[in-house]
Amino acid sequence: MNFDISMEEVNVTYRKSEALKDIDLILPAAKIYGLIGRNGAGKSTLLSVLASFRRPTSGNITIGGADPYENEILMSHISFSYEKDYSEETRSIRAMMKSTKKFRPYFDTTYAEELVERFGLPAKKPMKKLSKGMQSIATVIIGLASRAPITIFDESYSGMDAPAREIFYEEILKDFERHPRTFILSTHLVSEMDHLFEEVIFLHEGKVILRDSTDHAIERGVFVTGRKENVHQWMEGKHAGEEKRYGPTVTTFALHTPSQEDKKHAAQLGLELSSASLQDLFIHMTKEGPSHEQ
Amino acid sequence: MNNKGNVAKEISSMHFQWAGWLLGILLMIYAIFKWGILPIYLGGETFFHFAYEPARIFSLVIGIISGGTMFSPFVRLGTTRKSTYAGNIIAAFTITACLAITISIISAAESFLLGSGGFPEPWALAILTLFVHIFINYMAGWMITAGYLRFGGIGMTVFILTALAITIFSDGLLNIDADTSPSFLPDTLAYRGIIAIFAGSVLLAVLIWIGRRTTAHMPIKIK
Repeated sequence: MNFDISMEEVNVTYRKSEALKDIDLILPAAKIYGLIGRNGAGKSTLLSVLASFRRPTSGNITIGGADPYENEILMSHISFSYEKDYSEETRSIRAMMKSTKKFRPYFDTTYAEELVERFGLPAKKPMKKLSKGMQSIATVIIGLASRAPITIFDESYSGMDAPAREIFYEEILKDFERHPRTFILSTHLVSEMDHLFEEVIFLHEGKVILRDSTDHAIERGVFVTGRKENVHQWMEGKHAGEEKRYGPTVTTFALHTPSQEDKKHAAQLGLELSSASLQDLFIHMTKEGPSHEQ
Repeated sequence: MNNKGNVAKEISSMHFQWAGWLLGILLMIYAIFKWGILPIYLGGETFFHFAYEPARIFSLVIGIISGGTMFSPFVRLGTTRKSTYAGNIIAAFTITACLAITISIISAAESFLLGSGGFPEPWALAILTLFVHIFINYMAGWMITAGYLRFGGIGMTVFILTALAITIFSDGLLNIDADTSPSFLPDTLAYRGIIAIFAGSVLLAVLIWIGRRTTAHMPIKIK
C-alpha cells in the first residue's frame, strides 16, 4: 500500500475564522516530518483533517491516491496521538493497550511492554491516577506501539519531563529504523527536536510558509555580525530580523541564503556570517508583522 | 479487521457489567420485599412487572452515557463513523435483548418454582414489548448526548425535547397492561400488542436513522 500524502487547496473554516488557508502539501511516505508553528497556527486542525477527525471545508486530501475520510482501511492506518484528558479514564495502560490492539492492525504488544518498562510507567494503575507527565507517556507508548504507517504526534509529549522526552526521541529514531513509516511530529519545541526531522513544514496563521528538507531550511537564514554600517550595507535588499548591539558591533539575522558572492562581499566588509538554527529561522519567519512566505 | 464487531464487543462488555449490577440489585430488593421479611406491594404481580420500569430507566441512562462516551474514542482509534455507529447499534440491540430475556427467564422461574403471580399473556408479545420499549429508551438517551456532541447546547435542547416526546409516546403505546393501552388500538389483546410493537419498531427505526444522520460527519474533538 502507498501512503504518500497529498493535500490540494485545503481550507478549514470555523464559523468566521479561517483555520487553514489553501494548504498544498505533498508528503512522500516513510519520512519524519516536523510540523512547526506557533500556538493557534493551525497545526492541530491540519492533523485533524489528515486523520479524518473532521472534513476540510474545501479542498482534497488523498493518501496513496484515495480519500482517507470514512475509509475503513486508511483510517485504521493513521494513528493520531495528542494530549488527552484522562481524568475519567479508569482503565490502566495495559487495559488500554489490549483495547487498542483490536483496532490497530500492526499494534505490537511486546514493544509496548518494553516501552512501559523503559519509561517506568505503572502498568496496572488507573490512568486517571497517573500524573500528567505519566499520562503523556502512556499516550506516546500507544502511539509508537501502534506502528501505524502514518503516525502523528501532536505535542502529546509536551507534558513529559526532559529525560522522558529524550527517551521518546530515541525511540522514534530506533523504531523508524526498524519499521520505516511516516512520522509527523507537531511541536514548538524546535531546538529540542530538530535533529529528528528529515523535512520541516512551517505553518503560520493557517498557511504553509515553508516546506523543505531540514538541511536546506537551515541554509535559508544566517546571522551577520560586524560594524553596524557594514552590516547595513550587506543587508541591503535582504529580509532583516531584529538587530542586537554589542558596543560598536551588531548582529542581525538575515532571511537569506548567502551565495558565494555574498560570502565574498561579507569578507570584504569584515563581517562574520554564522549559520542559524531551525529555531532561529522559525522565530524570525513567524514573528509578528508581515509573513515571510517562502 | 471487523471493526463493527470489535466496537460492539468493547461496548457490550461495559453494558453487561452495568446490567449485572442492575439485575443483582433488583433481585435483592424483590427478594427482600416480595418474599422476605417485609412483604409489601412492589407495583406488579411478578418480577417481570417489577423490573419493567427500572429496566426502561436504566436503558435510558446507559443510552445517555454511551452516546457521549462510546462514539468518539473508537473513531480516534481509526474506525469509521459508520462502523462505530453500527457497533453501537449492535451493542444496544445485544444489551436490550439480554435484559428482556433475562428478566423474562427470572420471572418464568419465579412462576415455575414458587408458583407466585403469573407471566403477562401472551408471553411472547410481552417479552417483545419489553425489548422494543427499552431499545427505544436506550436510543432516545443515546440521541441526547450525540446531539450535544454534534450541535452543542442548542442541539442538545432540541434532542432532549424530541427524546422526551418519543419516550412519552412509546410509554403510551407499549404498555403491557391491556387496560391502559391507547383506546385507538383494536380490542383484542394480541392485535393491540402486535400493532403496538410494529409502531414501536417504526419509532425505533426513526431513532436509529436520526442517530446515523447526527453522527455521519461528526467532527471528533481533540482537546
